[in-house]
Amino acid sequence: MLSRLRISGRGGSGRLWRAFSTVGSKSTGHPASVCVVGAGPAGFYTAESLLRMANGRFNLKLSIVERLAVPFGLVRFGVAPDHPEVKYVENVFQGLLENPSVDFFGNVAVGRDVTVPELMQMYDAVVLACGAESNRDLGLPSEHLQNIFSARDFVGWYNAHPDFTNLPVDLSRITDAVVIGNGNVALDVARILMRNYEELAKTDISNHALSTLKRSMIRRVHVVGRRGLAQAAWTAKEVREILHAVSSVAPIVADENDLNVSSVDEQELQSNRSRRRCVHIMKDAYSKGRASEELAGRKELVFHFRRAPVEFLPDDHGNVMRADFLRTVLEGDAGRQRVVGLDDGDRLKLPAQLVVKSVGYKSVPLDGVPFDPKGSTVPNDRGKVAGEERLFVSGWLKRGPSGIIATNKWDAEETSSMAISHLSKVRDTSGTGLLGNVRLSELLRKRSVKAVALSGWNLIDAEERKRGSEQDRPRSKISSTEALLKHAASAEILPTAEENSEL
Amino acid sequence: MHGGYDVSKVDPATAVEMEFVDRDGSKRTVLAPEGASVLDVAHANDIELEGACEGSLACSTCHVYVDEDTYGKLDEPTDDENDMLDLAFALKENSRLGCQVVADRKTTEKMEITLPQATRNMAVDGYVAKPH
Ligand SMILES: Cc1cc2nc3c(=O)[nH]c(=O)nc-3n(C[C@H](O)[C@H](O)[C@H](O)COP(=O)(O)OP(=O)(O)OC[C@H]3O[C@@H](n4cnc5c(N)ncnc54)[C@H](O)[C@@H]3O)c2cc1C
Repeated sequence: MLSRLRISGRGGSGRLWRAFSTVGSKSTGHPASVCVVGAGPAGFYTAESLLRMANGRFNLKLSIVERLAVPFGLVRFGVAPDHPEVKYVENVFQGLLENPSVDFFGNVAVGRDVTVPELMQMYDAVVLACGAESNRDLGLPSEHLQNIFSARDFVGWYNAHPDFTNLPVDLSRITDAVVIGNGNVALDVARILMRNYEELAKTDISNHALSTLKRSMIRRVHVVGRRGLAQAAWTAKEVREILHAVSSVAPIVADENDLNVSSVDEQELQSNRSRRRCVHIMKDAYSKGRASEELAGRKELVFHFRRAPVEFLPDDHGNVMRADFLRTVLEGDAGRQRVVGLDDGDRLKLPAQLVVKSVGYKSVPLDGVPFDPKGSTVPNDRGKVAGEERLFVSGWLKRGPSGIIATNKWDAEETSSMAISHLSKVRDTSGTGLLGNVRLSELLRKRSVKAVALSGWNLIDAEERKRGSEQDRPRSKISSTEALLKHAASAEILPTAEENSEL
Repeated sequence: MHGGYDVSKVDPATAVEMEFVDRDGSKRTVLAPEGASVLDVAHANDIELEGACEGSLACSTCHVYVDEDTYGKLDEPTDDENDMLDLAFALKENSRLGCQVVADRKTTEKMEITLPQATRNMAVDGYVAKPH
């Protein structure tokens, strides 16, 4: 995939930019202002569908409020650096930022700088699209040893997320790493740990991760799942890539029996094309075998299935050195199989000086907003928050942390149609008009919040690309909020009432 | 052939006819130069088909349905295309990625391309749909 890497700018032709920068920008119809919280795929796709559905009926003014100084959520901070083509979607989102009906407020955290109830007073509708800002744990007392990380933190670290710049990752004395989880994120982490430095050096991986990975001594990465091969949540492109297209990887299955699927698994696979194909790709890769000369000298990628972690053991310095797993079995009918741990003395003891736990993201509650801690979502009816008049939710915060970027597009359609139907109902009674963005600007100024507007983000973007092009990389990311704000500083201009009237 | 083309410069003598069925059921016939992908044709004619990864087989947002007759004449989807179709919304037997189907007088003449239904406007119209 690296061959497709385009070294100039954000990559891609940007032809979608034009289409999205004008969608719904006809200033006709009833004035209304909507605030979208979160500048990830859910926020942008909601903005796009709102503008499209409003076209002609409402003269819509949108504010996109983002906690970080920079936009794009997990497209910038989740998607693996060696998958630049996935990030072309940023062109779509940039087009929306440039749309005259949209204002960007970066570095504004809802809950810290402004509350949801305050936003609800300033805007006709508020859409929460804050994603999943936390992660699930294993529930083991020993899971917090040094050099054990959640995938969320680890991915944030290699993608230059300001929250994780200082994550204490040490790869210099490490030969064996364990990644717990069987999804695409687990494969991303394994791949980044195993790729050759020369390949990583052509990507937009964070500078601190790049220099740490340069010193990496890793020889082996174990990927361990509680369930079987048939239940693995990864997708075919990522499986095929790590098995066949990364020249530094020699894939191995710890136990050949793991490649067998049960008759119940078989039933499950019948109705799941993606998983069926993944099982097939795995089996195929192993049945054909690979010449040992071809794989000699490569780093070993070892898959383990039906193994649940029980304990991590530290060395004398408190660093993890071993990860222990018990066997599991799956019980129950197709589609409802449960994992049952067996304490039958069959304990798998893997040497591991680095452990990354990729067992799921989870959303965090916002003050004044209902929250279901079990599913870690905001309870809603097709995107309308339960019991709230003008509050909506979209993306991972609405449906839980699963699905690809495009899933949020369909999800956003649903939320937007609920929001538009709300606006249609209230259009003659309330209506804060087009003033939401101006009111928010005033409030932020009063509170001395240094918001980053589009022009500020564009300066950051240009600087990152410039630094990147000097090193033959798409961009070199600036990784601290302080430094990001410094680069945006000369451009900070928030919307004013005068600008609004020019529309 | 990337990045669209100028519709006004399409030569009707060599062009391939394609019919698009939009999400609301409305139909439009357009002329496409040979070699243009369905995604290119959609963009050149302002037909709403996203194509977020710009034809690099990294997303599924240009997913369309192809009429069965044409579907049978096309080359089978490659593994890479199938990987993305796995993830497409509302996949059917005749699903393809618009970026991979190319105008060709032998195979795609008069092909009918249907855009997948989103849940758009359904709540507005009082219709309840569960997309997931
Ligand atoms: C590691 C990883 C890799 C992935 N790779 C791919 C891939 O290759 N291809 C693919 O299709 N999908 C991929 N996905 C899935 C995809 O990223 C998600 O489906 C998508 O990002 C979810 O969108 P979202 O907008 O709900 O959340 P997010 O993308 O997380 O966006 C939420 C935004 O809200 C902001 N925010 C949070 N709290 C607040 C607050 N209080 N105030 C203001 N702003 C706030 C956050 O900073 C963030 O910018 C990946 C996911 C992960 C975790």
